[in-house]
Amino acid sequence: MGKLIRRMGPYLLLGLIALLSCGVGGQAALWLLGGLRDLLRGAEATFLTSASGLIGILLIDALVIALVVWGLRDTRAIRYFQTLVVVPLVLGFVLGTSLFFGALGQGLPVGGKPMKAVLPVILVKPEPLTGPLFFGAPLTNTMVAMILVDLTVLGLGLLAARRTGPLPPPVRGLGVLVNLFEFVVEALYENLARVVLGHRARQVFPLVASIFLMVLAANWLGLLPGFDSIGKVEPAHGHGGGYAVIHWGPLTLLTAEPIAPAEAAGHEAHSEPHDGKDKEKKAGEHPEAHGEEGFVLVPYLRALSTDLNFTIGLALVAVFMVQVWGVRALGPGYFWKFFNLRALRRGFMGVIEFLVSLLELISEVAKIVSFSFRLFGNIFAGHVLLGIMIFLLPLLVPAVFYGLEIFVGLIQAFVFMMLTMVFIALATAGHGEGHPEGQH
Amino acid sequence: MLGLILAQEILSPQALSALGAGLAIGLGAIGPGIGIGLLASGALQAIGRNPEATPQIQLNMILAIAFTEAIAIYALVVALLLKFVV
Repeated sequence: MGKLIRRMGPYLLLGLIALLSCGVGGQAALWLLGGLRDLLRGAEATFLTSASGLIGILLIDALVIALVVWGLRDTRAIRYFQTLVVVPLVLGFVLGTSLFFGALGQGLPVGGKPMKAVLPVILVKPEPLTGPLFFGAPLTNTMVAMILVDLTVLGLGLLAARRTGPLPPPVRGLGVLVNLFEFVVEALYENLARVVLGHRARQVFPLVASIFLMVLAANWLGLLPGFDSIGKVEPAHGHGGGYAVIHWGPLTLLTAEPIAPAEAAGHEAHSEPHDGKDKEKKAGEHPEAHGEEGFVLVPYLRALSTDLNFTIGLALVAVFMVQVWGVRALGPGYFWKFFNLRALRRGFMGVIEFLVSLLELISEVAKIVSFSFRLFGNIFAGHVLLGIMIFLLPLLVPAVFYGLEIFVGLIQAFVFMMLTMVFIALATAGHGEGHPEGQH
Repeated sequence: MLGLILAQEILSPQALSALGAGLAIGLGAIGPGIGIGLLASGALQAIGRNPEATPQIQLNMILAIAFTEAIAIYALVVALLLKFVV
């Protein structure tokens, strides 16, 4: 009898756990439907229903985890538990909790207001942090990020440049960073620049490597925590709505309680009855906040590449330098590419060739547009995506997209550098005859 | 009559800009989607025939995908402008 139970135990346990998992799923589904129903009604769900759902899920999860721990005494069962139970259970638990703090959940009531993910205010232009400073232009949050990016790239570059030989074996601290920097620069030079640019690699490399490092730093620094989430809490004017705030020691927290704009209260009230969590800010600015006014967050830091001024500036530099290298390689004759007057002697077909050469001029402008909008669009869309995923399911899901954004940031930096190199290689090749299909 | 109600009640500027944004990114994603699919299929076939050239093929594939994707990004920028700026 004892033997039979030992043999059947894992299977019984598996069945039981499968049943309970269904229970968890069902609970979560009911919870979700409840939230949806309330959303459809356009009313805030009562906290009670969600709380009972959460407590139910927590109880069931505690039970299942206890059973799992008990079941793990039998080593044969470990595989099943890991693949069939533990992983889905942990994921399900995190997703369930995630839901609670996300768009559909109720969040924790703090000071009578829900604390959960807030739908970020999405603005294409960077937010000014101060009044007019330099020639009438305000300091924007992307400019602060730009200073950080500059310091990072310059600092690493200076550190690496100061060094004359290999470090003695126990490399730690900054030495690791410097080694990494050297590795990146060397890989770029040996594997890419030399292949694409040939004998000009040595002269052109500083430009394209700087572009790569600058764009990479701009993209990756923008992913650090603190970007987009810490800033001034300002009264919402022109953003429609805004959120209630609570004060917590020296901090001002933005809650998820939406406040309709005073002048258009009836019109907008139904459009965003559910929005999200605490974005924590230093207040300082508005301690006199009274309940009825809506506030929005103006972050101190915002990813540099989400500012069109930066991407267009970088594109202008890149395309201008392409012309410079063209002239250096071919002399003033470089410009025959754009105004093919010599072809005019060849009669009618020559006129067509001349018109085609004018198109080269347009393609040069198109390079600026596509350089700048490619970088801006990718990074900006990535940040909007991250913001919305955090708004919907704050806990586990955004991590996946975070990894994607790290990859996209690297690829965009690589593409910017690569295209600059290819354009320079084309410009220096001479006689614009046929654009080589293979870029090397 | 119905048309008038529709025009007044449904086709508000916000509704139209939301519709335009959806259409812009939806239609704009079709072409690049097909293009990236073609590119990846071509690159995979090339790698299948000549596995030694994998790094070279991958490099060029990524570059070409970046060009293709840029078109979808233009559509995305238009959609974002329609939704958040106009």
